Amino acid sequence: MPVMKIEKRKRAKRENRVIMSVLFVLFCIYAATLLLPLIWMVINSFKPDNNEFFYNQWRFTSFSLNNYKLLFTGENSIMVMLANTLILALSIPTVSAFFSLCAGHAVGSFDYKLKGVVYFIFLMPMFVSVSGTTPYLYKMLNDIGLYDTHISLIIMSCGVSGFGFLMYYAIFKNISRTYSEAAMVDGAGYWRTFLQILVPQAKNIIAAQWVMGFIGVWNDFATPYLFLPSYPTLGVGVKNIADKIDLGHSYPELFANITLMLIPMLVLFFIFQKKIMEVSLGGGIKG
Amino acid sequence: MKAATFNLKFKKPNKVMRRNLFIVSLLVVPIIHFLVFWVYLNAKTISLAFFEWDFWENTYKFVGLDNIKEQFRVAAERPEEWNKYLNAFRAIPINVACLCMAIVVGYAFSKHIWGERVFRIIFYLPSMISIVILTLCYRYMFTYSPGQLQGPAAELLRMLGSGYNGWEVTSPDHAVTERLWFLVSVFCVWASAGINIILVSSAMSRIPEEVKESAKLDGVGFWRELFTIDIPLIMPTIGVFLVNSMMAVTAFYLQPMLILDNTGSKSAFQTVGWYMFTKTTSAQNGDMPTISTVGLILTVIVSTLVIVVKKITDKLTPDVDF
Repeated sequence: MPVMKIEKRKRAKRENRVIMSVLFVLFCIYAATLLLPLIWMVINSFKPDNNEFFYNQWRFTSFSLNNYKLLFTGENSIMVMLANTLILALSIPTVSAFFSLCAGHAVGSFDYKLKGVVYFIFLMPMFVSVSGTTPYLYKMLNDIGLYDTHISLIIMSCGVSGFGFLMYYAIFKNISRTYSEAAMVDGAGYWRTFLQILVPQAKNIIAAQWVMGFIGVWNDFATPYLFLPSYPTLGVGVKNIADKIDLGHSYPELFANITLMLIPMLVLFFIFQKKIMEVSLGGGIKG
Repeated sequence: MKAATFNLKFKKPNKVMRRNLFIVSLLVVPIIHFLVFWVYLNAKTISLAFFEWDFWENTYKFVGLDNIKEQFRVAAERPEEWNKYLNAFRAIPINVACLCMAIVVGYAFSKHIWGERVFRIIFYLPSMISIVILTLCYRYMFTYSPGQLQGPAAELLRMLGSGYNGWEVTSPDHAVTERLWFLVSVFCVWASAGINIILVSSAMSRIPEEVKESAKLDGVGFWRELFTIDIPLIMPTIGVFLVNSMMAVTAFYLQPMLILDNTGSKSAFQTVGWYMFTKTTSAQNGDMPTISTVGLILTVIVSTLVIVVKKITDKLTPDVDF
């Protein structure tokens, strides 16, 4: 009997090794399909024109920085788009984090009658999603005269994000109340205790969430495209160039634009890689 | 003694009041936001499905279920009207494919496949990149226009003798449509695997070592261990994932829209989300009821599915804590 078991274990081990080798090869192929297209775009962003690109897609036959110069000096300078993107990418995660923290504190640190209701309210949007609200949202913003303004997008993000709220709620619930009691005895008000004593204890999570928010807004396309048409962001700008690829814009120019949009994200990713992967347990189709 | 009681009585309501005021100040903006952007917006959108725009009176008129009946009547006459619903539901098999891939990769990670750390980073990379860039990149890779751009992937496919001829839809025939949908589905799995892999592998890493150890001693094989130990134990995560995939149906539009935008045959590829996107800036008062009706029909179907899936996965989840 033990001999059979040992035999079985050996067989399982061999099987393991074979499957792992096959998977390793498949993983290498998948990794290559992820990296090569990006490298392809970056290489070709240095090509002077379409022709050079069409016939030498993988080789550095000529090197020109012209496309990058064009992006900064042309009539559709990338600087304006960069400014629009930065306004949104810096403000939206900040207000969203602030209000999620407020909600997390209000539900996690205090006991009162309507607490259950408030908790339920903030989780509702996570579980119930109604299709087809954007056209009416567009109308609503138009009616109150906020359509096509940065502030409208910022106001829209003053709510509580379900996932952020859950995290902050858990943090505040677990912070011992003696901290805030001690601060209050020392004469600090509620707001001061909240902002100076409690919020700093969650600063790692807040930072990670903020970076994720920044990346999300930087990469966003649909929201600024629909609600901020006069102020294109980088994502919208890239799409606009791609739409006019046969009308005066070249592929290498588009690729230069894409490369500039990519670089900050890659830098952020390599700095915060571990934290980002930790907080991004949301899941779903990439969108 | 008397003075002290008096002080307490006097101080207590003041303190409670201050605390309540603080809680209210914390909650006032998020709650107003919830009331405006969730309650009002959803209520208004849903209710418009039961109204009709009266052009002469310049107002909405209640028509009961007429809009919904009208949708079904139109769809019975022109079956292509169903396309946007059917296409939206393609999100489900795509998500399931993502999940299967994530399970296999996550499992290999949990077994510390060689190069695990590097793979983790590379596989996650697409999650950091804008969907616009990813879709454009993918589109150009598979573009085939002789004399102009012949993308590397398109060239490869042609070299293998597949007769691949790019994104253009010259005639809206079924085989062409399905082929392009297949390419879109491959894109979705290709671009969204990373984040799901993290989700699955973090769930797998919580499985206690002892459980795995005993399986190893029994000589359980690679796949058997996956199906009898790992998958049942991460069932709660799979359940959350499946519920999310059902909800993704309503929001599934950017991938087909950005990849297939200029292919010529929109109705074969449009999803409900795409339809909403195109309607957002162009809708007149008269269009609102139709948009709401389409949204309501999809919401009802999706909500039912979510409940069913939740029930099924709850049943499949073994009653264990670890």
